[in-house]
Amino acid sequence: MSLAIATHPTAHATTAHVATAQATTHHATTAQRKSSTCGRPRGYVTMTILSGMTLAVAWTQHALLTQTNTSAVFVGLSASELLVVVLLITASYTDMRWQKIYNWSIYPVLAWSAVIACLHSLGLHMEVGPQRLPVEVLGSLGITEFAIGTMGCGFVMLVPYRMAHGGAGDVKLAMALGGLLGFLPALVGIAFGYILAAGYVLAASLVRADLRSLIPTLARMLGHRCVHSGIAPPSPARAAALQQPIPLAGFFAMGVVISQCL
Amino acid sequence: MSTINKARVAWRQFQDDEEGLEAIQVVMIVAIAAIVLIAVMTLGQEVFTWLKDKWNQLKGEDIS
Repeated sequence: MSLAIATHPTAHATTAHVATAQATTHHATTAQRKSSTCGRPRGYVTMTILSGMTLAVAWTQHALLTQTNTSAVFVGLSASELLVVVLLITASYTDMRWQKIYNWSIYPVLAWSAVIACLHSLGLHMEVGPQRLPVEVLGSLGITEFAIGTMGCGFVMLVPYRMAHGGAGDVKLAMALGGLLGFLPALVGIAFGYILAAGYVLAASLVRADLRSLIPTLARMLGHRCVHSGIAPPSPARAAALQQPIPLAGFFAMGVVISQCL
Repeated sequence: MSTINKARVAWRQFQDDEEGLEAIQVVMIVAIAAIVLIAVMTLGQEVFTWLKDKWNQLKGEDIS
């Protein structure tokens, strides 16, 4: 009897624990599914409209500048540059909020940049009322530069993706940036993004006072990979610290801004 | 599994993967590579010109 009294609360506790765990798992799975699929068609539509609106904004800028005669040449942002702004703001927000760069934020922008590149290559001018929209308002890349930028940045980003099994969202974001900015400007922007992210990691580890373990662990891991037998790998606990993930889209955004300002 | 099917599966995985995260070790390694890339892009031409001048100095003038 005493055993029954002793075990009864434990059994209840175990049952309650299992039920709580099941409920937590169910909630987590539902939330994960919801965050990965929720609003996907709406996201595609919103992003397509938003991207298309950049064309109107670019034209309005051009019309205002020519009407007010503030400048003889077009000095505002082109539609491609506005698309970069829209893309980077959306990707940075979703990456920080849900750790995802959704396809709905990438594909419409890629499609619009392809359309802009085609229009630029064909040299088409758009007649909107009395105004004539020059191709420079759309962007500076032709279809060849668009293809080189998209494929080039994609291939460069595929190397860390394949080697370290990182997120494909970053690869797709880099492809879109390559298609909008061109291969070299996008590559420099991404490079600055990685440098900023590394600076953030160093600063964060300085605050947490584990900088002295981060750099030797990284050096040991690199050394072990390069000289397989000569250097022992870092301990599993320290290696796990290097596997911690960080969202990169915000750093890419800052990197692109810096590279465009330089 | 045929090559086409493998490619199709790989593409499907790539397409469905919307993760925007990268491991710290990858970020650090790519950042080192990025610093080298930017250094080469900014200083590369100057280094090339300096080496060319030194090589021309070393060769001297043709007196024959």
